[in-house]
Amino acid sequence: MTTPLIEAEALRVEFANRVRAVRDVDLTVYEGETLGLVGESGCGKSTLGKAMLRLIEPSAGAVRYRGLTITGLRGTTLRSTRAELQMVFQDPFGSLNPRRKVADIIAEPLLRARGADKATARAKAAELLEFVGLGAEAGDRRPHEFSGGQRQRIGIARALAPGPRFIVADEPVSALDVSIQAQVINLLADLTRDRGLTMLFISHDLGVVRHVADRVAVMYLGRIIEIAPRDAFFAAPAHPYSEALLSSVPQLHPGPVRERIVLEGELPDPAAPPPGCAYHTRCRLAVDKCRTVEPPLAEIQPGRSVRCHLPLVPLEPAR
Amino acid sequence: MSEQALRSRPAPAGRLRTAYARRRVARSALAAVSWTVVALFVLIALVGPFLAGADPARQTADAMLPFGSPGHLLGTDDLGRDMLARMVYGARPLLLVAFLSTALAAALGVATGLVAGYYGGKVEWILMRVMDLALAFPSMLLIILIVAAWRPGVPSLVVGVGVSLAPGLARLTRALAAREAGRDYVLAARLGGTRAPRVMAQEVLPNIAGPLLAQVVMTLSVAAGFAAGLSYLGLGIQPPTPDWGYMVQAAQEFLYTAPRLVVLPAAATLIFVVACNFAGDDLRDALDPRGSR
Repeated sequence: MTTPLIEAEALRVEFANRVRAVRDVDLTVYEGETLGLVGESGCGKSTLGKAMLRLIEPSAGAVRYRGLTITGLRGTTLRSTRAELQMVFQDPFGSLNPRRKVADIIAEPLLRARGADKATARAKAAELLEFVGLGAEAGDRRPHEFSGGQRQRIGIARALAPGPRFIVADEPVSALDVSIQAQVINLLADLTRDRGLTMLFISHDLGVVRHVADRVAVMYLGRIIEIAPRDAFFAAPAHPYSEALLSSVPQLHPGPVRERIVLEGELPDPAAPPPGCAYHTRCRLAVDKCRTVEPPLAEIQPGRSVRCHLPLVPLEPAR
Repeated sequence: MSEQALRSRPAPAGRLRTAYARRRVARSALAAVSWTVVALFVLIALVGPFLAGADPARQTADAMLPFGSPGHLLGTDDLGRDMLARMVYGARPLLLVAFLSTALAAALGVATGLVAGYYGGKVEWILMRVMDLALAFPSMLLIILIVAAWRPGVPSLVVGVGVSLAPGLARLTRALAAREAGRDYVLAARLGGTRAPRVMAQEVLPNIAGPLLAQVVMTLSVAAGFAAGLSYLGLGIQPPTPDWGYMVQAAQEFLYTAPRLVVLPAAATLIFVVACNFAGDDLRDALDPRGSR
């Protein structure tokens, strides 16, 4: 898990209304890992995921996939490269074309990106439907005949069809009933393990992220503010915002009662982020420096970085 | 929202419900009549001439016969031509021009709007400004310019009416396609390596076809109106081909002595235009439950 598979470099996404959804993000996802990307609604996590797949064009910065810069690729090269980069979408009702049969939806990337012939594509689609637990006969039906959880399985089968190495899962279970969520999460977790897939798992549910992710990245107002190995992160978050997020997760196990930190105020306007540290308006620890000087994303421990002047985890002296 | 959720929308209670039901029935009755009328006109245009019996251009000595004259059910006109035959034959050019020009407008407008809405940005700006250019001329003036520059007849009429009606369809298509282009299933198709033209044809178009089809049927009524209007002005179908618009114009001087010569073709045109309009309305409601009421 040390070879970078896909990297974002100073990636920036600006929309026409001058909202900077992603602000100069550097992010490396290593081969074989699942990186959990968390943050509240509107912080830019979905936009970052889509920009890494070039579904949204970044306005600056670059994305590198296995050393190849994919920002700027066009035509056939883009299409063949992107076959290895797939996505599972949030809304199972909007991510499947209601007019097409399920088998056709799944066969489409095989026909287009992999140049498979129709018979091969159909056979592969049937196989994938079996794999995600729906059965090959589901292929003759249309999306509206399925429940949310089943549709999400169809979406996963489609993402797997072209044989990807990297999958962005954008809140893949947030639209599902709680009872179904675990099944879909486990399907995704099995996939990454058995097929050696690398995944960027976007979620606002820290409980789910804890279950699937190897590392956790926290995003706030378009920036990564903390990135850490899962266990270290959940044991002791380093950024006050991460701490507040974690304190909002209900605890299942009895033990010392965690202090609940209630975030005050609204998320600041992403079109006009506050000066200094973007989080200072809501931070319980903010000092004068936080209001004027933006902290860099600094490594505080090996493999663990935080963007804060006053990290909650003590710096580990360099050996 | 899912289709099931929309279908299972609970009906309002009590008096409201009765009013709701009554309106629905009234609407569907109107729709049924409209569709029947449209179908009837098409049928008349297709097979009518074989059944009419008389030659619409043959002049006889029996001019200005009234309704119900033996051999001339609708009487004859000022040149002694059989009115029934002229009415039946007259449906042809009107419907021909209406259908062809609507087809042309749909082809131009849907293609332009689809590309503009799908790509957005500069492509959209350029394509839509071209459409605005056509929209900037009053339709009638634009059609007259085209017809006059070419020569009056079916081809120039079809091109003129088609070009002038394309921008409306382009705008609707652009709006619908732009909305659809951002949907996740379109993104998924792009990720799967599907090329843009195929994404537009296979993913976007089928999902916006409902409201588009409704608008196309409505456009049919406008096209028929233009066709009749131009023929009335003498810029459309040229005599001796019988045509309702021209018939109204030619018979104007007999408006008081033999009103049927004017009223029959005028009423026929009006009925067709109105029926197309209601049919389009019905189609829109049937295909797009979100937009109705």
